[in-house]
Amino acid sequence: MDKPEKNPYRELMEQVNLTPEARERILTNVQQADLSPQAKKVVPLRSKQQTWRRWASLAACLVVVVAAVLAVPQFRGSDNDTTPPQLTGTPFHQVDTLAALSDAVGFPVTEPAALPFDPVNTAYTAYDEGTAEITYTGPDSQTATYRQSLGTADNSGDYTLYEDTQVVPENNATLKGQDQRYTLALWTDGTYTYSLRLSSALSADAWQALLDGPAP
Amino acid sequence: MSALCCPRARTGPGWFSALKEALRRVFFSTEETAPPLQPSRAKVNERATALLDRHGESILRLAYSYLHNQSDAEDILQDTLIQYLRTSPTLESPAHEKAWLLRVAGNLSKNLLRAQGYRQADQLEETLVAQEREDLSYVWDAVKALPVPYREAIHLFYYEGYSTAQIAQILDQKESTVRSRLKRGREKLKPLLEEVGALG
Repeated sequence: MDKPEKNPYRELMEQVNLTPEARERILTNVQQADLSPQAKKVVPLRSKQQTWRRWASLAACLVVVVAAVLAVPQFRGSDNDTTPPQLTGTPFHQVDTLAALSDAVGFPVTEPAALPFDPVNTAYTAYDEGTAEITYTGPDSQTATYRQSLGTADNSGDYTLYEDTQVVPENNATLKGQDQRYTLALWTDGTYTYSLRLSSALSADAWQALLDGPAP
Repeated sequence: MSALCCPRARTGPGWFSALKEALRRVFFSTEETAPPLQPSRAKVNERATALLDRHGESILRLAYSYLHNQSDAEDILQDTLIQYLRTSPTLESPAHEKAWLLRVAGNLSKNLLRAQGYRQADQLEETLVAQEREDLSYVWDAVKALPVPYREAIHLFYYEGYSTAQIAQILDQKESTVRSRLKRGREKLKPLLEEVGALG
């Protein structure tokens, strides 16, 4: 595929290059890396009855797909229609202030009581499904991602299976991490659900102090 | 009546059986697959060098567009090559190979971004200042300020020259989503681009 004609963005990216030293370093690391592939797992033979049930499910899925295509003609666009379809909304958008974030999600967003660092950059993001996110960046590239949503379900978006989970009763918060150091905290006040994910893990005591906020 | 006159109609060459077998392989794995024989280390090293020569720049620049840091981008390049050599994906063509690598590099970059955020050092910015390329500095500042989803579409379109359909495949998104993000990215860049020369 041919690269596009020169444009300022291309000219910009062409300033990013690999030095000979970096090239050698990368090749050496790649050549020394463990490249052993994993063996595929055995899936046991199924009984005839199970096999036929599977075929029946597959056939049912195909019937549903064909029925949907035939029964909903307005989803079938014309081949001559070159107008890009308009999206009804983006999944998220960034705003500039806490007030704008509250407006965007439709409820008052409160910032976390405290952070383990003094942020040098703050980014506000409103997700269309109703989650407010504030990302703080510290002077040494530490990050803290804070979320607030309506309801009580976990809104962190973090599906890691953590080895260690601990509840902090004083704050009714659940901490997740490993080896008694935690990077994620989840809590709710019954109306809103909150989560705070840190790039650097903290002990349970440190988290409790964080969630309590600074001393008056 | 002679058998030659009206030969018995034949079914296809077992087409239904072939379809059934293909579907069975896709949905019903029934046998253990032994790990493939490992190519010699020398062959692997040769492949690594060839990949780096063919696609190293593209991977590095895509990673840089996410991470804004040379060291991080080089780490992503390294990890992408390792992933490729470890996985040995079945690819149909050189174009498919590149698209595969860029998809992996993009995912690894986004993971790193989520884990650590942006580093302070942006060597590209320093280079542009040293070269007194204020025009490109403006473009870079504007692109950097875009949300990641717009930036990745802008990069793949304006640097790699992919169509929106191809970008959608690489990023595993709908084409309409890519078009929308490209459009919104351009809208944000438009005032600046009119000043330094439109991207088109």
